[in-house]
Amino acid sequence: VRPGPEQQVTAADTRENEPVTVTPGAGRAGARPRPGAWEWYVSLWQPARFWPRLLYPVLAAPVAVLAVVLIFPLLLVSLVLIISPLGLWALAGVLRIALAFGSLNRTLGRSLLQVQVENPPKRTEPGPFGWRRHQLRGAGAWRTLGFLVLQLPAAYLSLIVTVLAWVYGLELTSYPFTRRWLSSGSRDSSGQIRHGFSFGSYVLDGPWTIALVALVGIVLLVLAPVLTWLATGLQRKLITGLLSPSRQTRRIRDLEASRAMALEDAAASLRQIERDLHDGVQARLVALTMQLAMIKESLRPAAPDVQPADTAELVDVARNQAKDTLAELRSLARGIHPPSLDLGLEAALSTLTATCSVPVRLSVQLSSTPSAAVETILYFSAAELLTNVVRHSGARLASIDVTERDRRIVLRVVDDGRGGAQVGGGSGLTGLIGRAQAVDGELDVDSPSGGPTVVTVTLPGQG
Amino acid sequence: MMGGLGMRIVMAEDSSILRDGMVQLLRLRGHEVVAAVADGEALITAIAEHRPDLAVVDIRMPPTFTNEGVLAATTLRRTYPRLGILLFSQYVETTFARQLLAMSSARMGYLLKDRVADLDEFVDALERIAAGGTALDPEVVSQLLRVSRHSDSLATLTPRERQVLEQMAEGHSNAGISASLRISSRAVEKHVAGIFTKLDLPPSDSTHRRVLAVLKYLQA
Repeated sequence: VRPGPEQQVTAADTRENEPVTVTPGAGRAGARPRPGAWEWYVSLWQPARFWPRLLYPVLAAPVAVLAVVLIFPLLLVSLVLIISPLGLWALAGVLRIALAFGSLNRTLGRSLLQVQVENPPKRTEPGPFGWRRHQLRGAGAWRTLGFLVLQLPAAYLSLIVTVLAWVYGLELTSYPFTRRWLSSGSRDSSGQIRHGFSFGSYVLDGPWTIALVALVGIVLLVLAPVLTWLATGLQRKLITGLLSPSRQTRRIRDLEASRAMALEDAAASLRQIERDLHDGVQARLVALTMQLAMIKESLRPAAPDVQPADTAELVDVARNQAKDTLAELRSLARGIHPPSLDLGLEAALSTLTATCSVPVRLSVQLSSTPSAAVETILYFSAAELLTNVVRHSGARLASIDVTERDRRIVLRVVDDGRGGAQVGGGSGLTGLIGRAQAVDGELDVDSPSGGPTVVTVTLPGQG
Repeated sequence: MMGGLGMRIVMAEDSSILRDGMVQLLRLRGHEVVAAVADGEALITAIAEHRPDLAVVDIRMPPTFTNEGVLAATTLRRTYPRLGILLFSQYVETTFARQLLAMSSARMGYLLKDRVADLDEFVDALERIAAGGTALDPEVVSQLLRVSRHSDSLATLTPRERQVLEQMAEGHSNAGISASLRISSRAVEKHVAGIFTKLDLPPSDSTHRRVLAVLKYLQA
């Protein structure tokens, strides 16, 4: 089953709703061929879509009436009560009912119209006052009220369009058979009552006119699912616009998520550093200690047949151990903060590209210096991506571009290798995504099989 | 057998540098490492196969690099009560020390890996463990002393008595204490008696029961 255009619409909506999500391969998803109008039309008749969409206007209209009839008088009462201590509680209770209707409408939209809509944020504050605050401010109750008001005319519009389209479609199509129950009130020359629609003395009962009426009916039936779908368009917009969390709420949630990720990332790096120290430098120093103990042992006067040459060999081993320890400590320190980064991002990246076995064309065009955190992430992302290029791509040429776009800093690493890079599968991209998200950035991979691979890291700029 | 030369040892240590170094060192001192493995499960298999005098076990090993050694030691202690177990690690965790000593303090040791620097002391600790005693790292003892809930009565100890208490907790005998603190064994006995009185511990002769008593007091 090919996705209909309406699914593309909702997919675009979700992307807009979640500005911080990483969308690997989004470039290719956008290039997916749009199904033609005919495929879309055929999909309207598939039972799994046809019946729910017919059912929606029928269910939504009474729900809309019930909501308005129930909630607005109660709202009025609670607004009058607002001068009393009970007022806010009453208001919160009414809003809670409105939210329940909002939730019902979300469910209807999701299950019958395949509208993709997020739930409002869950209550975080405990206790009855937390509950009240949540109803009054947190859960988007006022936007839900707006929805319920607008939903009433919208629901009736779609119900009327749907009913008219189907009823007249069926009526006119079956006109050749059903007109016999229609009495026009006038009689023909033989005194028989003429059957059919009539306009004054004109009666639609000639063979051609009957055929024409039936044809109009067929056209109406053919168009009925389209009309039904178009009629619910306003309601779909209302659901995605007013029943999903507000932009601000989503922003807060995204920031909370990215903060949690930053904390996680910091803890994970510390754990990794500890692990590296424990397994590397510390273990080597313990080994060095052992070797020194062995040297001392060989220098004991009682040591059985130890030659000076043996001792010299032990000293050599120990010295090499000390050198290795230093080298490991140096690389560990560089992994925490590359010293070349102190000279600026461009200097650090050119040091990085100079030592890369694949030739890299580097271009850095920034009007201002990014924050230290962003610089570090850019540097490590470039390093990791270059490592991937060398290890997996088989590329002969790569390029790194750092530019500014809309106050965001964009790092693009391109190679002419075999492509097929994926997030996950030990490519190290997952770690980079985490690092980018931690500072409210994103990472995008476009790597079709056969290449070229383009990885784009977008991070917030200054200000 | 009472420690001495020619112990048969099984070692569990995931770092190959350390494993090889340790095997060489122990061989220099006439002990035989009959098996050297890299994780807790292999350790238990190797112990079952070789039935050594002593197991030298790293605490952090694969797969989680947290407390595999302690878990393996717990299993081993239950199955082989006469097996000497030395846990060693690059850090001292009081929690682990407590867990280990809660099992038993006999034939049990917990040392920092650094202690191999002084081979004499290290081998002495191994032999003490194999002979039924205890070897606790001075670092462990000082941590236990620091967090002890009896710090009030610990405060009544003289500095010298405190030193003697620490040595006792590490597992040293009176003779050992007198050698390392350079005081007469009579003086040591006097201090020990003083400590037992001040801390309200029942006097006892056996080395490891002394440790047990001291630690019980410290942890209580």
